[in-house]
Order: sequence, then C-alpha cells, then structure tokens
Amino acid sequence: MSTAATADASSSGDTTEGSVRLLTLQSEDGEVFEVKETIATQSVTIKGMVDDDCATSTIPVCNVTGRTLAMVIEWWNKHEIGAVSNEKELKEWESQFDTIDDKSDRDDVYDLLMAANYLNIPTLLDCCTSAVAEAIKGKSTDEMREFFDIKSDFDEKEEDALRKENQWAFEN
Amino acid sequence: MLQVTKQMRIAIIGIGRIRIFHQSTKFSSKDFSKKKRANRSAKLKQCQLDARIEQQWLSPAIGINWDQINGDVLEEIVKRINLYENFVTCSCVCTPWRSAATKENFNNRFRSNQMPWLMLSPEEGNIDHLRSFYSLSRGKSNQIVLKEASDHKCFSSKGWLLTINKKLNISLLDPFSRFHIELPHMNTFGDWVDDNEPLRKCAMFINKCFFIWDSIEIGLCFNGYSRRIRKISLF
Repeated sequence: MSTAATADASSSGDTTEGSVRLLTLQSEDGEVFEVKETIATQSVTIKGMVDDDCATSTIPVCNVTGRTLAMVIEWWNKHEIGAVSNEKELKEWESQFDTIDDKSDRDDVYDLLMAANYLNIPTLLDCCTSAVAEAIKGKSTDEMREFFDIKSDFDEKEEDALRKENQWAFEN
Repeated sequence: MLQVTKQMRIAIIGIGRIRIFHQSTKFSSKDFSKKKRANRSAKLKQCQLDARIEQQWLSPAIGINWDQINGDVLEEIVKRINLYENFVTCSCVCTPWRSAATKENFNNRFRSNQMPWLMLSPEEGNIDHLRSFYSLSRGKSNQIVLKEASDHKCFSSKGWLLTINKKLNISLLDPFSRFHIELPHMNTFGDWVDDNEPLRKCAMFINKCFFIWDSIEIGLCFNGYSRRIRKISLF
C-alpha cells in the first residue's frame, strides 16, 4: 500500500496529496465518499479503526445518510489543522450550525448530532449540543414539545402533578 | 483524485440547494456556482440527489425522534443549559428528558450570569399558596406553589430562601425542589431579647446565612455587628 502510494506520488509529482492514505466511507443509503485519513481521524471511532488496522476496506457508517455525511466531511475539512488560518473565520463558519431557526435546521442538527455521536467527533458534538441548548432557551415545556415533536409519555396523574407543581414552566 | 473532488462537490452543492430551498442563506454558495460544470454524469447524479432530497423533504422527518435521542447526548445538551428555569422546563417534557435533567447535570446553577428571579409579595386572599417570581430573562412572572413559604418572611441567598414565620421558626427552603432544612429557633440564640416587634427585629438582625461545609454548621452574620458570626450546629 505504502509503496504504491509513493510510486503514485513520484509519478504525479504531488508529494503532499499522494502520500496521504484515502479511506472509503459508505453512508447508510449507499453513497460512497473517499476521505483523506488525516481528516477522517478527527472521528475518534474512525481513528480507533485505523489504529487497529480495520480501515483497509470500505467503512460502513450506519445510521448516517449521505447528505449528513457530506456535511460531516465538510466539517472535517474546515477543522483540519491549517485549513483555516484565522480562528475568527472558523468561528464564523461554525456559526451556521450553532443556531436553530426553524424545523429544517432542527432536523439537520438532529442528523448531525446522531452522526457526531456515532462517529465520536467531539468538536461537532459540542457545537450541536450547544445549538440545541440555545434553542431550548426561553421555551416553555409545551413550546418545546411542539418544536421538537415530542409527545408526553407521562401518565395522566404524573402529567397533572407536573403541571400543578411547575405551572409556570408550561405557560408561554 | 479528480473523481473524488467531483463527488464531494456534488454532495456539497446538494447541501447548498437544500439551504436555499429552506430560505436560509447560511451556506455560502458563491464558490459552488463558479465550479459548476456542465458535465453530463454530474448532472445525472445531481438529478438523483435532488429527487432524493425532495423525497426526504416531503416525507415528514422519518427517523427523527427527539424523545428517543441517546441518553448521553441528552445529558450533554442539558449540561449546556445556563438558566435553571430552562432546566426545569426541559425536565417536564418527557421521561427520557426528565432522567437526563438531573441536578448533577446542571452545572451552571451558581454562575454569575444566572439572572435572579425576583420574589414578589404574596397576593391578598391567596388560598393556593402560590407565590409569584418575576423572571428577568423571560420578562414575565412565574408562579410556584410554595406552601412552606406562606405566612413567612423570605430572604434569599444563592438560590435558597431563608424563611421566618411569626413564631420565629427559621428554615432554609429550595423553592424548586421544596426541600427545606429546619434551623434552630430564634430564641436559642444567646443574646435573644424578647421584643414587641420580633419579626422586624429579625429582619434587621440576620444579614447573611451560610453553610460551613467542613464542620456541618450554619453561620449567621448579624447586621451592625461586623465581627459577629454565630455558628449553629445542624446535628
């Protein structure tokens, strides 16, 4: 593998790109992405696979769609050391993920949360969980249930007790 | 290598389109439009992707269950909540959220950025033991059933209420959990003098009440006596 990569590098004259190993990731819906190993190892899960030499064939990324995986790869690209020189620029770019304005943003963040959790990407997980915490801010319990499409699973007695005890939390 | 970049670009264009479709301009598309090529296979792939995205958009969020979210992820979310009132609203949503919103996961309770609630005086003829608190962050008042505080004068420190009734029984009360700690009676203090206006006296008297962790004692600072701190053993 390494000799082939070196040969390829010498023929193309591109030493930086050519010497980097590529990993093949396959999303749940069958979309295939080839990603530089140095980038993909931002995921602790994938890093573990690489360290254990389990990343030689296609890596299936279960429960993550191609659309979400593309977003994750975009995240990795931006967070690669040296990709963005300016810290401020990176924060500005990240700011698109850290607010949830509507339900489509909410669904994107959910997908990213699941992917970040499965692939164990601390930076992305931190960003998405902060976004959800920010979205919760100022919402009453009923508003939260409506926004996140959550049905209360408390039984009638518990629900009544909760409403009575924390009446203010349910008021808009 | 070329094939890889092309594939990546298609995927990223897909995201750009979605954002536009949702009328959000967050995703910068200026680089993408430059790089668009009239490549036939790329177009075909794009069409397939668009169809899939449209299908995803039309079908209501399959597989997205915020109530089934992983417990560890929920805990991470809860740990990032700054305001105690949001923490309480979270805990009332459903059982998984309630189990994540434990006191241990609320790290920010005593942070300085926590906006205090202002406790309002009780309304006349209030039989439900409701007390109103004005939330500065929400700009409205919230009511809490606080039976323990009715007919008591209340003072506060670090989220606790120090309550004193007409019989001069003192206790510490957490208004959210309603957990309360009975403190020794006022007349057990050494320099206790009976007075015609005892309530007024004690309101002037105790300036600050605090826990002394290592000795399981409570310290009471008295107004006007700068060096006087009385320690009362809890057990």
